[in-house]
Amino acid sequence: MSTQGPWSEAWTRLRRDWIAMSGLIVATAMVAAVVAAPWLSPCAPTEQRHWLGAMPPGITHPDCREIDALALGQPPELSTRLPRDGHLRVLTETSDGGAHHYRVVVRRGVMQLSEEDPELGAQRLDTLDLATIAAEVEHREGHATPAPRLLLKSGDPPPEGLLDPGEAVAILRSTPTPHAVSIEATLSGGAITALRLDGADSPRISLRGEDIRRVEVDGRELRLRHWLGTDVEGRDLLARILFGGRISLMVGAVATLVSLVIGVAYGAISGYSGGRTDRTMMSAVDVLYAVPFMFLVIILLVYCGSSFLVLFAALGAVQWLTMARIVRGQVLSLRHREFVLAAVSSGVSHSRILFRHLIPNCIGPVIVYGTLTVPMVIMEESFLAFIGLGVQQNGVDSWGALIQQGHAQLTPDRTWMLVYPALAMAGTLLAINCLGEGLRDALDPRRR
Amino acid sequence: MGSYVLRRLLMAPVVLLVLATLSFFLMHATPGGPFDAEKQPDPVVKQALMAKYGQDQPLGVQYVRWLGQMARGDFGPSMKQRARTVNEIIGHTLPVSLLLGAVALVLALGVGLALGIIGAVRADTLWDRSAMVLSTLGLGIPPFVVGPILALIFAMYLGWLPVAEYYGPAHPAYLVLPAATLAIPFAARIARLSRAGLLEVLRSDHVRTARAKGASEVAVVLKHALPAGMLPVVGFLGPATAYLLTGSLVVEKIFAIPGLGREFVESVTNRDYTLVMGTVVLYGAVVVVCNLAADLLLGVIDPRVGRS
Repeated sequence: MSTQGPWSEAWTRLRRDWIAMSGLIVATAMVAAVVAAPWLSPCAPTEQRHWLGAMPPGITHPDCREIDALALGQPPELSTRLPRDGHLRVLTETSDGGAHHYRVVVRRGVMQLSEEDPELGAQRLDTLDLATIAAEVEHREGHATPAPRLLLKSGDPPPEGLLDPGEAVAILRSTPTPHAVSIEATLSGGAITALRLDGADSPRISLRGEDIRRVEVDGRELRLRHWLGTDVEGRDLLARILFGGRISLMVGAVATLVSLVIGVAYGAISGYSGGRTDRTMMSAVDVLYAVPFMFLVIILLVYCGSSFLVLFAALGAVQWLTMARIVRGQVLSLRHREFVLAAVSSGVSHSRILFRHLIPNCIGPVIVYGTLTVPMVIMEESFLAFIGLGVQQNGVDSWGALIQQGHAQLTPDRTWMLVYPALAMAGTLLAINCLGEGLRDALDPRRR
Repeated sequence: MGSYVLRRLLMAPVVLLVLATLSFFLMHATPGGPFDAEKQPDPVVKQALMAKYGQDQPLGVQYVRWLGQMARGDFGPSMKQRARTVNEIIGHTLPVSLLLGAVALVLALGVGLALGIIGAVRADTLWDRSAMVLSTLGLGIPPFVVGPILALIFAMYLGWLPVAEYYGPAHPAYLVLPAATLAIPFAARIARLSRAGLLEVLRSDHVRTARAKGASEVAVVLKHALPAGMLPVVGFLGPATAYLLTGSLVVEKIFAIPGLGREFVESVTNRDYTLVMGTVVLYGAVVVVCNLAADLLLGVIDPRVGRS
């Protein structure tokens, strides 16, 4: 063991610590998943499908968008998983419009026909062809019968069977019939070369996603599965967690880096200068330590708007104090060691001593504390996102905002929107914490 | 000891001044003001409002005047809730937050110390490991994850406790979940600190002497080791109040509790200058006073502190 360098010795110790190693594995897996988000998620995190709002985990549906357009000579705007060449078949089921209401009033033995329009009110009709619309007659007693397949004319006496004896008013309600349409398209070179609607050529077809029942490519059905369900706006939760993790982890890493740079520089300069400079710099740290910075960060974010830059600067600036203390302590203890004295006596400049001799020797505690800072920063960012001050990037929310949205939707049968983002976040934080503590034990075995 | 107390006492106002100054200038440096509504107000009206609240004065004058008011404990009128003063709003909401914080603190101390003592006395056993795993979980999982999940389990599935809202101290059931949510991270931290502190003391000479004298294990732990082992916990109680206050922002939002935390978040989004700054300074004062109290307490318990 003694022949090993301190780093490989620390690595050996870390490998024996199974908690730290599982932390390392989980954290690495999370980072990999978040980096590979575009390939792991079934669709974009911002893609809404309003008819699929708040669907439970595992739901599948035909692979399509909210609005789908197919036009000759254009690439198909449907699924992102269509091949460049092949045969596309889409089955839809539309029910054109809502139900129509007609009113038949019998006055002095003849009928007066009108249509109830929800916007324009009653519109008089001369004729009503019941053979073309499937309608039901709503009777006074509340029961309904199928309307006779007849042509009604205003001014004619009512036909047999339309009205019950003694009735003078009948409401006819047409039930919308589902109307199945099949669309065939030939794809070649990424564009549509032939487009047919129910067998007839058509230059352009626009489809609503909610009407699509089946999407086939070369006889193979394309379905989309939302492994973790969807959020209220029908966006895929898995995609939102993965892309949101990019924001959370990036904020954690960058803000930690900011705090590292400030803290190491400040602590090293303070410890190396010593004397009055050191005392002044450290009492400034003492004063700042007692300032509850989170409140200042909140003010800053509200008044400057939530941008990445402000967030990095604010969170990094909050976290550097402890780092400065740690580095200062290290530098102080190294300052009078022989190798530093040797460097000083051979005329090496101050900055070179600092950056070449002192700071590299503080790297162990810096790594440990840096690792432990990452989950702290992620937690703070999520805290800000939770109270509505998070950053959004192209409509993608960070984990804190996802948890807040899940909490807003929380009912006993709508838990997935809270539980999965919460699990992702808690798992990542725990993993990095375990890794950090393992690193501390591995790099400084005396502490155990 | 004397100089130590003096130094601590002198530092407190400096910290407060730094905080007040930072929040004042941050607030005024950023675009948008309290009288900028979505509908632009009449310039004359705006001018009159600015004059009434002293916003038309130079920044330096505003700053000095505001500091003077603060020193007398007057936070001024609220700029958004026009009929109320900041003092009234704070007086209304602070007791709720204080009660919540106090309950959480007691809960955290009880659970945390229990876990810490178990961990230290039964060091490196399954008991110790489980206590430490629990504390890692408590520290690593943020309150805005714990809170909704506790609400889901205990309020929605089991129906034992109310989901949210608060109706005064006469209905303590409404405080259980929020206080537990707030307490968990502290309990975890206290468990770690007290375990570490106690372990160190249990290995020290005076404990060995006590054991050698034939004192029972319970007496050794409770009488001889615990007071000295609690030093790190006492040191933590100061900074803990800062966490308690920020934590209560989230907890009050989750459980819809009408405390100062919720008021603060709302005042920030409303750009209610005076209310935000009053709250920040008040929070700062609470943190500073608690830090000071913890430091002084530490100095009293452990005479070595002042001399180092």
